[in-house]
Amino acid sequence: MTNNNIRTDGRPTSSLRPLACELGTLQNSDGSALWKSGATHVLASVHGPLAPRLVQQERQEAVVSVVIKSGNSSNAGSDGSSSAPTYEREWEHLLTTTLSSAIVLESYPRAVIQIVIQILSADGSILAACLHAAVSALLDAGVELHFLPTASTCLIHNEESNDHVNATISLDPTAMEEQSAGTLVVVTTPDSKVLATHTSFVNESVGTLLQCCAMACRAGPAIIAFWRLVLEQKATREDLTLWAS
Amino acid sequence: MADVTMTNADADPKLQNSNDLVQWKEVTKQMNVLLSKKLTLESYWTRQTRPDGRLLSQCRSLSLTKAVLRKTTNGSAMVSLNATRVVVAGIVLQVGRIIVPNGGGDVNVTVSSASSTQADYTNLQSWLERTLQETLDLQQLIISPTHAFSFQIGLQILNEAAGNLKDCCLLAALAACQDTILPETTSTMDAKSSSKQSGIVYAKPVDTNAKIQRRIQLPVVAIPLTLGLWTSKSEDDTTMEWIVDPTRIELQHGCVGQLTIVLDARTNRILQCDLASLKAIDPTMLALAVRMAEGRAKELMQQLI
Repeated sequence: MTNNNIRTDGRPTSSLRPLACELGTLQNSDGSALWKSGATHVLASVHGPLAPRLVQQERQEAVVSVVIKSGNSSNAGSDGSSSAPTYEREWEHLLTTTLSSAIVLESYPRAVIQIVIQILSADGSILAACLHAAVSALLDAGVELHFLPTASTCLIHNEESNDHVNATISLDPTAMEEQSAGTLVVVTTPDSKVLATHTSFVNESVGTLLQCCAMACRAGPAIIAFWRLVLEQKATREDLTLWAS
Repeated sequence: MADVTMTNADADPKLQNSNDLVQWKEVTKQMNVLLSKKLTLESYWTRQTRPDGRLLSQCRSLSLTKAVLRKTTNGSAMVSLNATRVVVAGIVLQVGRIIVPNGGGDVNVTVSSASSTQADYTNLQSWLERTLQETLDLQQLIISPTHAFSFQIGLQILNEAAGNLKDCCLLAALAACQDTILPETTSTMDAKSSSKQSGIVYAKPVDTNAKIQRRIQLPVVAIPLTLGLWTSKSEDDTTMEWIVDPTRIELQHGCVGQLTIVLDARTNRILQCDLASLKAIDPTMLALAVRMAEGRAKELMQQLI
């Protein structure tokens, strides 16, 4: 990073990588989405609400199930180096809890909503991309949501100057940036509240933690605005396709 | 949830009197509360107390006992909550090749219990491996440029009902690491290169009577604290409270979220902050939880050092 807080790829510290999202990528699922954040590509598919097995019929609301799959060959960074180990089981638990709070579960009694997430290409900020891909797939499937949860990955880089340690926080780091410092993933709601957090190799004060939460709350509306654009494009495309004479 | 309902109450001639009917409904409601774990817990929490008599911000007394399995492990420890033995951790050191260049040793965690199947603890195992890799200095496990020790940590859960397995397992694993003595090693010569470093490396038996014993050094004193999140709905608004050191029943039936904070007790810096909740919280609640974790770290630091 240069002295003007510009990163090696030319982005300022508070800038996200270019986003892209394709809805309805898979034909065999009720909803699907391909989420691209820079070189990180994640594919999510939603199946359901489905009829549950016998043991789950007593539940008065839907049950959310999340499975994350990542291929070994896809875990290479942008420079070809091996990435840090991933912890898909923990991420599955975090995403299950987050999406269970976002989905209107009471609308789908005695049902199961299965979400399968495939990491196609990993170049940093994978957990956030997984959440965004899952939410995009739920929007494509038409599942009712209370709110749109957004996730931001904060890279915390400590610099020593004049006997003080200053923490510089960068949003949406790449895999190479993540190898050099700790990260904090913050999941926020549109009303600037925190729904989930996940840390990796951090050693920070509570002030830095609150700064990361504040940055994540500021980045959330940008991602929600992006989803609006994606859905408007999908509606326009379907309108042209269905009603074309 | 147990649901006691009225059946044929209005048709019973004995309950025609309206006062009896009201009393009957009140008794039914009280029975509903007693039979429902969630309502029972909330009836305690609204009075700022818990079924075991603790305050909402009060932890159970925790004791660490090291070297409980001297003969079969390189290091071991046991954690007890309120005199109830919860977890036993044992460490076995194995010699392995270094896979990652400039990398250190490796950590593998296995969690088991007599009552549950292995699949129930996958999440806990993954969390423990990640936390130990982040808090331990794995470079001290290096034997040679090609070989390093591998930590094989086995955790046996003795009493799952006590709950708060994350805190107990991590403290037991760290205490067992502190109890571990690194053995001396020897290596055979490689016939092709005539170099000891490319031969086979063996670990010698540990001599407990030796004057100099190389123990694992902990670069940070990692103290965890798990909190449950409870939301209480009143007529005016919804308030949120942290339930410190929750039991298994409290987490499963009363709490809507769980937060685990791991602090370095020497510097009070946050090593880990993992929150998963069905209800969103204000960031100031996180700051409050960190303050509680600082108090816990100060309390437990003497036991771990």
